[in-house]
Amino acid sequence: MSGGACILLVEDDDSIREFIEMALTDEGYTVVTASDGAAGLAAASRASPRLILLDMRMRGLDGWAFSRAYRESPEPHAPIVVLTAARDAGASAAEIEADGFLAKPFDLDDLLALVRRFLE
Amino acid sequence: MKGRVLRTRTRKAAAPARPKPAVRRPRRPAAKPRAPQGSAAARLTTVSVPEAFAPLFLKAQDFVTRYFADKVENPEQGTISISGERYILVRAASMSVEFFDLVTSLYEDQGPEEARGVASNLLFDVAHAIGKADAQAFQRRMGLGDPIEKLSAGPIHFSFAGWAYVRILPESNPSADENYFLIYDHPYSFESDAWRRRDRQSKFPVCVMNAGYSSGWCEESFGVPLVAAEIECLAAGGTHCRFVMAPPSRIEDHLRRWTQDTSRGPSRTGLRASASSVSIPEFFQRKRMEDELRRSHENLEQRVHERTAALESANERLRREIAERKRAEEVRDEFLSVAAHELKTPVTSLRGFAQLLVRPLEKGESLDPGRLLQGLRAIDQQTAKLSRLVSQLLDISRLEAGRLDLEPKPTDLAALVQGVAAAARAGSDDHGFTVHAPASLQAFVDPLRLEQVLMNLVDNAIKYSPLGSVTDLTLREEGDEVLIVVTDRGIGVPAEYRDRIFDQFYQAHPEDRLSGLGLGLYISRQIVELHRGRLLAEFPAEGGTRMIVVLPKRGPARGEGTRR
Repeated sequence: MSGGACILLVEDDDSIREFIEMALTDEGYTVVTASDGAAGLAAASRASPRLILLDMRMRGLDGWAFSRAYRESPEPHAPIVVLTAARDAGASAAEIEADGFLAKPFDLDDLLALVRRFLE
Repeated sequence: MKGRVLRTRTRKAAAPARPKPAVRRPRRPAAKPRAPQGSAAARLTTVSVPEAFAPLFLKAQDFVTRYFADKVENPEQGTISISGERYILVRAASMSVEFFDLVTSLYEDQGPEEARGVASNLLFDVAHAIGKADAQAFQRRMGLGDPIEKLSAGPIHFSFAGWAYVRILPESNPSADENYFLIYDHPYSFESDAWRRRDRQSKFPVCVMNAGYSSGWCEESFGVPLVAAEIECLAAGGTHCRFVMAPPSRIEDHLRRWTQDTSRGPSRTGLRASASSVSIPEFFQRKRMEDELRRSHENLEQRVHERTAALESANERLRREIAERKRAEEVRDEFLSVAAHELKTPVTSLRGFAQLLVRPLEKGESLDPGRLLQGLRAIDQQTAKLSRLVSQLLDISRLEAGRLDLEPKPTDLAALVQGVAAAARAGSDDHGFTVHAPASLQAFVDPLRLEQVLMNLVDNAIKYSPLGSVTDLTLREEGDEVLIVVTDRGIGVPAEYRDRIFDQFYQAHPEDRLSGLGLGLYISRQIVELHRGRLLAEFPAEGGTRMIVVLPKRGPARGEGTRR
């Protein structure tokens, strides 16, 4: 369906991470997960994902710090889509110059449509 | 007089005892039948004062007597010296009745009232100035500091200089302020005497210089502006020459009071019938106006000063309020953003899992039982999490509205603590819990609310303790209090945050984003305090956190809560 494109999911909530991973895996994507920004950076450098789904408010290295560090890294950079529960999701996304955003809670179909748009 | 117990000498005792109008031998004491022999009052012959003041005036009398004893008349050079000070002799009549007659003739065209006014003002002002100057000279010579002491030489000097003998009446209140009041008689005033020697009866009080001199002396002694007016005059048919002295702003009140007073004997001439017949030189008006002007100027400055200070403090208050509101807004904004995050997170999961389960069914595909179980479990957990958050928000809104009510009842705290530990064990396989409690301990508490507090403390212990660590719950009595202590071996709280952990919306570990609204300890402390208890935090040297719930055994009054 999508050729098993690799998606990196950086999200600190176990439950959210769990269902997004299941939904994306169902769609045939390869999903790499990380529960904070630091783990996310390690996974990004290891797996070279084609898309990053990024939570903003996380313990340790948060979404802001992750995106800054990620963009400073030498590898080619994947687009970042922000998944945030912030009151103004768009503003959060703009702050880190994200490529797209989705406000939590979101419709699963919307998430899948967004992912497809970036990977096709 | 104010603040002193006085036995006043009656006029009967004083006035008849002084038959001679002239004092030729000042050292010879006059007969004073009522005064005890050898007492200060008995030896005081040149002035009459309330008894309490007698010793002070006696000292002045000794001084002034010695002063006048050193008198050198040298007509060859035209000098009279008293203790080295030049004096001049003036015929009394020339400064009273003859002066009035002269001025009256000069002002013939303008009428006797105008003439009287001019003469009175001139004499009063001259005498006032002389009185002030004499008082100053004597204060320097005698080295006096106290106002009454300064006053004391005045009437005696007055007596020796031949102006008048002074009798100060006990209603006097010589205080160095607005309340200064002196009432006194001059039984042998040189002025009224001059008129009577001519067999002239005046329509108005004539002792203008006496009034001016005495008020000048006292003004200098007390440092407050003073004027005097004669309210009864021998020359105008009165029984004596009587004066009142007061600050210019008060003199008319006193005049009204004393000219209407009939308590001092029945035989009064028209002079005492009303204040309007009493001579009030223009001088008084001028003095009073100056006085009022000065006061109103001072008042104005004072008011400007007060207004400025009030404005400054209002400004400061506003600045503080604005800063506080700004801070409150920031806290509120932060809270809303945390609350949004905390509430949306479980909702995101709920929605995600629900849709994940629904999707295959909608497509007519079968649902893997393992996934169904996983999804339903997640939904169950997230619902519980959401429900806890909603409860906290409801508690906060109840607390803020003052409507969090307790429902206290007799409760076995031992069972309650055991129950909390059991629930904690069931909820966390990774942490251990020990309980030290008596078999039973009864107290009067709201069991659900107290359980909420203990669960919050235990949740915190779990949240901030390493896996496998043990949290201890201890229940014990101390006097009429009950202590429930929750001790964990977790990360503790950095010293700089410790005094804020009970604050609303405050999270001691914000950098960790370990979830929560920052309301748990705040609500817990409120609940404990509604029980009239205390919630304390201790940080043992060996690490970890020790939270202590202290409750009175008898608990809160029934139905107690924040409801106002």
